[in-house]
Amino acid sequence: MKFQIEYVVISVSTFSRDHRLTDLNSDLPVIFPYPRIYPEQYQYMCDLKRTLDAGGHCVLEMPSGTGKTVSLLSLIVAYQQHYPEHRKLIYCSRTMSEIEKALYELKALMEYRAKELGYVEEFRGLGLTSRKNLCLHPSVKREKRGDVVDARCRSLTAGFVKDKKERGEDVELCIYHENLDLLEPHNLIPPGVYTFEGMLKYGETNKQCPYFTARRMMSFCNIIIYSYHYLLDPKIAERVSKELSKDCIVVFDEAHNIDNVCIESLSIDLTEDALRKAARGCSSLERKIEEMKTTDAEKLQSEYAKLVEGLQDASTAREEDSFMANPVLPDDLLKEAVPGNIRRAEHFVAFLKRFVEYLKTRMKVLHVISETPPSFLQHLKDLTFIERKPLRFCAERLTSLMRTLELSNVEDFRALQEVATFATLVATYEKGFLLILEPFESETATVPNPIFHFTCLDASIAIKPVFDRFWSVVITSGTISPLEMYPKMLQFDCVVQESYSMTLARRSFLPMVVTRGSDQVAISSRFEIRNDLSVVRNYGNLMIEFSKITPDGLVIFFPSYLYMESIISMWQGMGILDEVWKYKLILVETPDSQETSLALETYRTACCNGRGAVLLCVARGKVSEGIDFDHQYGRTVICIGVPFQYTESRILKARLEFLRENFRIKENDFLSFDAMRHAAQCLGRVLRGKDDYGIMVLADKRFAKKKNQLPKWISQALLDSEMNLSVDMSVAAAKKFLRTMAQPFHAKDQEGISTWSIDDLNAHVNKIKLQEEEREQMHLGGAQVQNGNGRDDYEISDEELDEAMMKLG
Amino acid sequence: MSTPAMPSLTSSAATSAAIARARENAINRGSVDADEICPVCKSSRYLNPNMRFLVNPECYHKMCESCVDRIFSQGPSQCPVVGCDKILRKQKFRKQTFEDIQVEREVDVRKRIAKTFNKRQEDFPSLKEFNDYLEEVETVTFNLINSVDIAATEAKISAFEQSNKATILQNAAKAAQEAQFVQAQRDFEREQHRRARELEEEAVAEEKRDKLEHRANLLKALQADDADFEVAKVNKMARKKSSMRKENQERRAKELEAARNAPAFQFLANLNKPISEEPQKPYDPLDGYDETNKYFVYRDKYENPWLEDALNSKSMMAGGYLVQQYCERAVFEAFSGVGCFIEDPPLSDDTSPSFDTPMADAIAT
Repeated sequence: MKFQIEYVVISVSTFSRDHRLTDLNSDLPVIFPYPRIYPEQYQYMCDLKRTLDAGGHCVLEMPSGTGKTVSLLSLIVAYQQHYPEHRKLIYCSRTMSEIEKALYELKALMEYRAKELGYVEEFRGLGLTSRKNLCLHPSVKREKRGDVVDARCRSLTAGFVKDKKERGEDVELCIYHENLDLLEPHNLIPPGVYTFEGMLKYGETNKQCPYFTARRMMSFCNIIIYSYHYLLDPKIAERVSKELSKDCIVVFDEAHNIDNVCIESLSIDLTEDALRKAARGCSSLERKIEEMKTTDAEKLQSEYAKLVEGLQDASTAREEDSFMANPVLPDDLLKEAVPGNIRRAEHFVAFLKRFVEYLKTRMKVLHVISETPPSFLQHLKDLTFIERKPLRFCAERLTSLMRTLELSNVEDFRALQEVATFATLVATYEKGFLLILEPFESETATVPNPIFHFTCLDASIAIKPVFDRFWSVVITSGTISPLEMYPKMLQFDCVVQESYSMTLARRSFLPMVVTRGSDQVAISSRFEIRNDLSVVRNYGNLMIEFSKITPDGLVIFFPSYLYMESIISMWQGMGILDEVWKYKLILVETPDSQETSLALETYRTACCNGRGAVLLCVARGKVSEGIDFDHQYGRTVICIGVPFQYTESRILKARLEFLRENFRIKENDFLSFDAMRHAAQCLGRVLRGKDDYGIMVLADKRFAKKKNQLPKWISQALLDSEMNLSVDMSVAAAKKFLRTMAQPFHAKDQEGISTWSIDDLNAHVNKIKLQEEEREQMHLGGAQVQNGNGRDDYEISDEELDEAMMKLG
Repeated sequence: MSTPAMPSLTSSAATSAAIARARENAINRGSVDADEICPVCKSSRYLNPNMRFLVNPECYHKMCESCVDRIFSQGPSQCPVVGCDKILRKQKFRKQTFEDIQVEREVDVRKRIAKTFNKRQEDFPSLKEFNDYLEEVETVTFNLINSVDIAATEAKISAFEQSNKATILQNAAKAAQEAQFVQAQRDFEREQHRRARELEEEAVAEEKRDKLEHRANLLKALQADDADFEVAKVNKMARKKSSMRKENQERRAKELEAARNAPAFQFLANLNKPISEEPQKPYDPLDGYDETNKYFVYRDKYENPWLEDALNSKSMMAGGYLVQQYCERAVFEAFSGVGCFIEDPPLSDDTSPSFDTPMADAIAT
């Protein structure tokens, strides 16, 4: 299906794009690979295009299962092909399976385009994932653990290994990697879209390494699809995403957790064990230096000479084989020379040793300490005479040293790297970080097991380079409400901020808020009452009732593992589980991922063969993110309790304080926002398309006040009459709903309402145009022309409201 | 009232005791495992869980506390470790800070070096030279730590100390000032923090109060005859209040922000100024206080028959009584408050002799 999207000018003061030629202000022809389009998909594309035209950032919320990825890709590909700039797309997603899905989608789209246009466009789309998934080397690929694969790969592909080979030494090289050097560096793989499978196949037939092909071809691709971390984690981004040009379009899909990803990428936890390993790493470095002094002193000398000149020159070799991670360093620092007191290898190792010893002494303290980086540095200086400046260079200096020493077995030095990264971060950032030492694992523990947390409190630090560097960043997800929270937390201005509702030909999902049990006792997972017998029994009743009426799969989410365990054991005692057993199998998610995947598999089997199953899982666990319960795999989802975070955690407390002080986000607002986005994420699991149907139950008294924090598409479907139900009422509503869902439903019924053919689309465009003209005529006086979707309509000022009220009176 | 407080008190005492115990354990744990043995008396931690180890920075040989007491209580003595001929004093023994004794020693060396080699980047024309200097210092430190040409290194250190005496002092002063500044800044920030917090709490409390009040008003309005009108009025009032409150809050927050950004302390300005050195003066214990009195002149002799006896009596003189001293003191006391009144006309020196006549009279009468 082919259609045009109009060029709409929106005025944005911050981004002036004067250089754009006027003839580009034309309509954009979009080729969409399906004969029908959903109205919200069209809206989404329009808004996306507006953002790209204006050149800014946007936050878009689109219901899950309405073809977000395909509309995104088809618009951006059209955009790339239409305008001569050919802006590159960087599409970031969360999990491997999502990346793979996007690649398939892109492949199908490009095939369709070729068919429609009659010729094959010059286009390259590649995905990047870890070495473990892309390795072809016969022995390396058999390794189970990712880091082992990485380490072994490096030992076969690093630059110095090759040098050794050339010198005639007997070392092993990876043939797949070597073959790449025989090819033209800008044409390692012919144009086209490759899924991971396709890459592996191509690599196998041509005997070339898929991982390095993807890495090296990145600057020649039109579309790159990879994980967030390649862009957000400064340690990786530095190496992988450095050469991407400024005018790239960056898309973060499934971005509702992006702030946590940002924070995690800059936080480091050190344990006693890690410090011990780091100390061991120091000693072995010392030995290696001694060795090298006797055999190859020249090399150390040359490194030294380079360091005298400056860091930048020393690390010109910072290529793909630079196996060490570096946290972000300000550019001015990179240009500066390494401080004199860590220039010599032995001096540097002694420096590291001292730092590690210092950290060890800190670990011995038996009460909780939280301090800011400046006070940490001050204490460090008082005790060990380590200045801030050399500390900042720590990570970079270690990389350089390890390269000089030609260490290929990086495993032994992992802990040391971690410490060096910690050193650099703590010396680089003053604000937005906190050091927390927790000597005990829990409140009641008596055996100390200290953990030194270096936590980032400010999510905007990690993502700032992305916003600064790229012109358009699109943040999108199925559940990203309330939208205004994200620009606040991540500190950016956005051009478009939109949430789409879901157009449905029938009411295909039923959200309900259950606040009371059948005995009218309020149900809530509030800490004080969560273990009350009546609450537990009412939750149990809810489960029993829904397991009776739900066909196939029933998914239940709990706020935490701890609560789930306690409530399950109580249910066992009450005989509730036995009752459920009559109708459904009961499966439980555990923190162990293997057990969980086994449970999931069993669950799917039970759902398919008609036995039906209940899956009990945790709202912040693995199941709640990224596993779909479409169709029979999930007909009902029950969210038991509001999934608040564990508020006693010191890290969370520190972050809340930071948010309040710097971004003026109140503690409760943030906690509630965070809980609701997880709840929405859980609810969104059951509905993965327009022909799917499902019941969503929010079972907690406190949900009644949180309706407006749900995504628009859910809150619109949530009727006021279903906001305050008891268990028996909700069961009656669900029964009625299921009965309507059982009626035959044809694709034809959706036509023109929730799916548009090209004619419907044209009609819609014409209608909008007519409306606009009418409005323009009405507002000829000079009032602002509103955009067709009229989203400002219900914004009524206080005065107006007052007047209306007064009239009423 | 006091009874419920009691258990919490005792429990807090108990927890603090527990913490102390835990800390003790941790210190023990810090010096590695449970069956560590004192190299001198060979008693092991297994038998004495409270054993503590001490080191002396002379030779860094570790021994247990009781050994230190036993050997060094009588005064300085030789280190009991075989082959070590250092004479140690009990006073110098201390607890080990770092697990690694090498690092412990290194830090001591660095402490000494840092006192002498305290040049700063500003003292050098270019970064490269500063880095070269840093490396030089590091090499010196390294030599001391690893005992490589100690004699030459020591000579180097003293040479440096001699040639850079002035800068060393200056830089030490600068460093001290900087530390002070950092402390002040930290205090300031804490204060700001506290104020912001207070403000926040106040706002929350206010909001809560308003909400309650609003509800009460609403209920009252509903009881009235024309309920709709009344309700509208109450709503309007509440909205006005809330918008006012919002404005208030915003203003206060802005103020706070401004205070945070303002150059609140002069330290910052002072810090970058070079400290001008005053020329050295002889020491003055009274800090420039002038002892001479400008209100009166003391005479050698005052006519006073009352004092005649005392002046001549031997028995008085034998006791060390001096009439001059008495007069001196009497005059001094008489004038001691004079300078305190600002309104009084200042007394010039030449009028002061006339004072002694009435003074003498006063004594006479």
